[in-house]
Amino acid sequence: MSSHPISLEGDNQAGDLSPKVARFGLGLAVVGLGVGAALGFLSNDHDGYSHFWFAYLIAFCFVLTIVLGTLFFNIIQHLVNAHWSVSVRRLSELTMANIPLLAIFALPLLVPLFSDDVELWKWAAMSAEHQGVAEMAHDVAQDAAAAPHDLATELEHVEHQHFVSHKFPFLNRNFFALRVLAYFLLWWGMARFFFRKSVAQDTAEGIAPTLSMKRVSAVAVILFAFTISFFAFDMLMSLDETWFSTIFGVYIFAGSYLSAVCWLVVMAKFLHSTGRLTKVVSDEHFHDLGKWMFAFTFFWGYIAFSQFMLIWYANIPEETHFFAARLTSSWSGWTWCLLIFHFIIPFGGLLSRHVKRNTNVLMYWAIYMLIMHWVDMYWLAMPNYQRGEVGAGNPFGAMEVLLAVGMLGVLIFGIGRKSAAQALLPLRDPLLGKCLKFKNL
Amino acid sequence: MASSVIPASIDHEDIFPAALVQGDNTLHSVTEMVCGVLEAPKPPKSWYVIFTIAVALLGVLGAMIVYLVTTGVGVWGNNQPVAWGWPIVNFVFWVGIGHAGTLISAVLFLFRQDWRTGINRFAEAMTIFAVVCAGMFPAIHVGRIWVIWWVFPIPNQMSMWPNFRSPLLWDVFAVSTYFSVSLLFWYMGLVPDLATVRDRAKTKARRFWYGLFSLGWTGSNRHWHRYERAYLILAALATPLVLSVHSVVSFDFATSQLPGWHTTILPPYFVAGAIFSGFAMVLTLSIPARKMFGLEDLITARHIENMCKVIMATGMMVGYAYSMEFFMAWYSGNTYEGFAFVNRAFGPYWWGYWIMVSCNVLSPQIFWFKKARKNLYIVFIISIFVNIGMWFERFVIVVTSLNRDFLPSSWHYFSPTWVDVLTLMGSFGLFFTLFMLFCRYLPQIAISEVKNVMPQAHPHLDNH
Amino acid sequence: MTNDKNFYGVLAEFEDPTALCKGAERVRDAGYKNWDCHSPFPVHGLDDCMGVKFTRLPWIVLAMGITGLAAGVWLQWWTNAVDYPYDISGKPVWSLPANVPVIFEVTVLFSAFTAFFAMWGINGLPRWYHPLFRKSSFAKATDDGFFLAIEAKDPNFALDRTSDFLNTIGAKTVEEVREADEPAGLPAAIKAKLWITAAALLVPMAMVYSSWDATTTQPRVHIIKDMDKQDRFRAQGQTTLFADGRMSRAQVVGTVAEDQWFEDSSFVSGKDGDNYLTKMPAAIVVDSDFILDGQKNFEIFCSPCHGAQGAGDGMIHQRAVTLAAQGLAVWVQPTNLTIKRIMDMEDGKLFETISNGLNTMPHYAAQIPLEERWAIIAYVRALQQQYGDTSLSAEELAVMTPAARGDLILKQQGCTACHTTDGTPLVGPSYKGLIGSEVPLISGETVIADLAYITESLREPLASARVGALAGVMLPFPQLTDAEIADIFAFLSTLK
Repeated sequence: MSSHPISLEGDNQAGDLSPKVARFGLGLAVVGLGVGAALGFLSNDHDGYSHFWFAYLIAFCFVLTIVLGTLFFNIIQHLVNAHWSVSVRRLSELTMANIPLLAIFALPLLVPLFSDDVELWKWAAMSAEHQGVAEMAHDVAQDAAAAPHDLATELEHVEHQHFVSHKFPFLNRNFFALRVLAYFLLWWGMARFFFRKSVAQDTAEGIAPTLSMKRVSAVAVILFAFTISFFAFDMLMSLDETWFSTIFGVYIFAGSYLSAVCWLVVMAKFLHSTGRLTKVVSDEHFHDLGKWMFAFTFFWGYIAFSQFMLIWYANIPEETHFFAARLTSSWSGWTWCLLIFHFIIPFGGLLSRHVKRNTNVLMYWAIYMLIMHWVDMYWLAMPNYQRGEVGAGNPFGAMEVLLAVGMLGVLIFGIGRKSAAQALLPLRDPLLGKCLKFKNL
Repeated sequence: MASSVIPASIDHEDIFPAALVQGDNTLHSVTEMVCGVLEAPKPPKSWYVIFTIAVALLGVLGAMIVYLVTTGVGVWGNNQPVAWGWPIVNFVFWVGIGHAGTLISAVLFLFRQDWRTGINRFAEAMTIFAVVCAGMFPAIHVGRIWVIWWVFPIPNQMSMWPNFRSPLLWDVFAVSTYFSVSLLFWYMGLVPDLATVRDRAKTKARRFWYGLFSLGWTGSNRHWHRYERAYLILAALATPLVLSVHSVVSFDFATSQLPGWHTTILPPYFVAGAIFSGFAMVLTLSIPARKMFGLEDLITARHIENMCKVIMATGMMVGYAYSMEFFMAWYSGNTYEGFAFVNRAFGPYWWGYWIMVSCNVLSPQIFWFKKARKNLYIVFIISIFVNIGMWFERFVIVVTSLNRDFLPSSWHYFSPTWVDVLTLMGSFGLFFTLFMLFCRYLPQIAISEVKNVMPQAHPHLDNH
Repeated sequence: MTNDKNFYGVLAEFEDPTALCKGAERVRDAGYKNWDCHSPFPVHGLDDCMGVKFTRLPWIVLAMGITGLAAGVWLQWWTNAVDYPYDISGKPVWSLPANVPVIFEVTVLFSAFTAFFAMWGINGLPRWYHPLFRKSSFAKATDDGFFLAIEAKDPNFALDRTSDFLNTIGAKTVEEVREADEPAGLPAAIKAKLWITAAALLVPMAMVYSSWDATTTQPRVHIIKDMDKQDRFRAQGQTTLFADGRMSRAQVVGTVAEDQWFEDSSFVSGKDGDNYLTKMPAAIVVDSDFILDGQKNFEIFCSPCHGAQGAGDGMIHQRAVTLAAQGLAVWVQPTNLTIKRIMDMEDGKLFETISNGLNTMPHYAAQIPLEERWAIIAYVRALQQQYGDTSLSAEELAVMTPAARGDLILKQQGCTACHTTDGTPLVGPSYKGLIGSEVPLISGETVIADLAYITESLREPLASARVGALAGVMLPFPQLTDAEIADIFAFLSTLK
């Protein structure tokens, strides 16, 4: 089979849009992150600005998971030799190319990691001042002699400390920082490879770059699976140092891919509105992206339900406290919100093919799901802020919103800058012809 | 840079794979090839050989069931603490195999993987027979098989209802729904092909039976329109159904508090394992069958290669789950969880664990090499390995988690009895008997769907 | 339109899918209504060419899917939370997360069945006869033929015009199709047989229905040996196998069961001949491990009643006392194991008591292995050393009044567990005012409680046959000497 020569109209270059987008993104980033940080530091909560760091981590994970989702999108399309996605693949490439940029924004997280005052990853300080059980017991005995009524609390603390200390070979400051560095290096390597090869294909005579991408994709998908899982364990799961769930990596992956597809819909729709890619990204492609949104809304629900139901049903204290905290306190509202607005409503909303083929409606759903993805991240992380303390609530305010918007601004800035140098679609991809022709059943 | 031209006439089999129908075939020759199998006066000799063995094993199964029902479940090796022995292992094994059919029919259909057309009929038939084999085990394990209807919510004079909070009851609903939907899906796909057989029938009996089951299909386009829509809907329904069935099977284990069973990744891990074993079984069956019935043009090297890739991918998903379980067993800091996994790998059943790992994770790695994917002998052997490995996976999950329970005085080395062994062998007899009958009397390949992916099926219309 | 009512229409064959699609466009544009295309596979693009309206099937499936969802919720809610609520592992009777899997399955089941059956229903299938089947060429429609049929009942239909039209739009061949002259249908004989079969099939169902709620005095038919019919001997059952007709068999005289033979019979019985052993059997070596073993078993089996220190104040006793105070129980305090009477008791007697029980104390031969029973005794002795009575010397006793000695003896023998000195009735009568009172006997006579009566009651409690004695709670105290009984009498006499 061979592809037919297809002439494309001149709407596939970003052109003067790039600097505009970059400027807009930069503005968002500066305002969002700047004002967000200012709000955080002005309202000192006397625990080392922990509230701010939680909000920052949520915003960071929110944007990074979108970017990782686009990286996976790229890898998997090459792996299965997909033709439908060729027209939007460059958009995902432009997004994933910002991994080094986001790595810079991971650096501030070293502060909560290495500071003894910030209570973000509580194990961090614990691992630094870790002492043997005998010493702890000795301390307790002395404390108890001084203030006998505190003995029960002290013992509980020692038990907790002992339980967590088992993990210190894995959860300690240096190894954590090293691991995160390794993830970013690997992701950067993969993103850089796929981006460069894809751009090389634009001007290549043969299809050698495509073939080499296809070959590498098989290895890349394995690397991706393990890095995103351990990234999820490190960044989010370890916020609650005693909780664990084997499915957690898959859970983060589901949200990541879902938000990536939504992001592509938003990008494609934005480019349409500027008169770009109008001949290339058709209703058929939106329909397929919409199917992915629907499928991954369902998949996310499936994974979330599996995690919840198994923990709820077995009701083992060491696991169930995660959901107990999120179902019995002021967090129960957020939990129900997640169930209804992250699963039930979009499930019904995206079911119909008419919705998926109506690009305006689909874009609203995409933006909606991106917001829900942020809620998901917030729901995972924020209940650990002041966990177990009297009066701990669910702090939500301008700071959270501004930081998330600012972090998105960083991504938009990066995309704007990257989009100038090459076309907005893989011009000479061997499957482009097939991509532009297919029709949904 | 106002416009761009896509390079023409690039031909590479990695990007543009070989045609799905090989050889110099026309629409008619495809019909001839598939219908020829069931219209031949006699099946090939090898068919008789396999069928005889299968029926003999089926007889063994019947004898074992009669012995079990008249004597009691004590004839099995199940005993405390390994109360769930071989029957549940076999149940999960067969249900797992029963996943490839619907996956190929439904999920690959949604993914627009045209190559599914060559093997979907096969796989669906296999699914149904495997689910029959699977459903048999829970039914006979109750001992008093005549009261098995208690699992269904049927009003009765005892005024009792089943306990819907039990994962075992979810199983009843999941497996029976899956069986019903798979059967409908399979039969629906068969109808146009049965009409083809009907229209070619030479004998009255054929005309009657194939005519009866083809429901008077005329190939009307107005019918095709609704038919395709219904097929798409069934595919869309069957996809989450496939996920749910093996997830529910995993809930049987994971809702418990038993270390080694209670882990949240079990649902997707079981689903991946099911797809893995199902595809292995499709390969095990289709490699000899295409040879036996001369269907090499329709089940091509490309089909086999794609299935190898799926096996490699799902094998690695299973490997991912194995490693996550081990990591979490350590990370959780739970002594019992840690022990359960060390016991798995280095306890009395260490051999089962390492058979599982070598067959499921290591052996498919050979499919990184295209040469291996193209070599039918290697593919066939690996597919057998995977079948063995996946049986052992269930054995490892069930037996090693139970044999050393919380109370060391209860530790017990489980061994199957001869009844266990013969029942498992007999279930293969049931499976292959049904499969051989299917090969002989029904179109093994979805004729209308294969025609649909042939180049001559596409109208060339200027305005489209 | 045509007047020939047996005339069905015309059937045109086209070369390939492309020709069929182009032809269909022309037929559509010519305004025909009752026509159709027939192909061996769904030709993509043909729907548009024919102008087929998009099916309403998805909406039907959606509606039935929602029905299934509701049915799944309702089924589980009504059966488990309303009609037959019962507690399973502490889960609420209506626990939604556990109901989700079945709700999902029922939803899918309803939707899938609807998709399948509604599709056939809307298509008007099954319909085993079709006029087109009368054309042998039409067999190709399921092989490699592409057909277009226009029905005669179409308002635009005119045989010549329509045939010519079909020829001009690229048809390969055009044929006329006629219905059969005789109406299609099943022969009467087959029809009758089908009706009879259908009716016969109802019979078993009717039988099941009629016996569904029926009761019967007949036992069930046991085709298969079930658990309610087992081949085994029941303890009190009859059999024809043995001459005496009894299922229970006594141990054969002169035999000992396997594992029950011991060289030293005192190890098993606690007796040497007729006398109780006064020390441990020869086979036992008392060391600290042995005593710790005894402690373990004492705490498991004995301490609930006798208390951890053997003082007769275990948890059961404490609970019983509170119940007794509310009038809910009658209770004899368990023996204090550290009183003098028990300290003086032979090891063999203790062994026998553990093995066979005494009064309300059950026997423990079945629960505690032989050696561990001895170990318990060793531990009891250790308790007695720790907490037991320290006996007074003969000189010390000699200077006491008889009444004081009597008081001491009653405590050492454990009498005060059942008898009070302040008039409160426990299990036994209170000592207050006993001496000189009239004690009713079973025979209806009375007897004056004097020294002779007290002596007899202590040595042989059952002999006097007084009211209440036959309950057998009172133990004999043959070990008491006359002097001790006199002291007791002296003490009792002070309680007026």
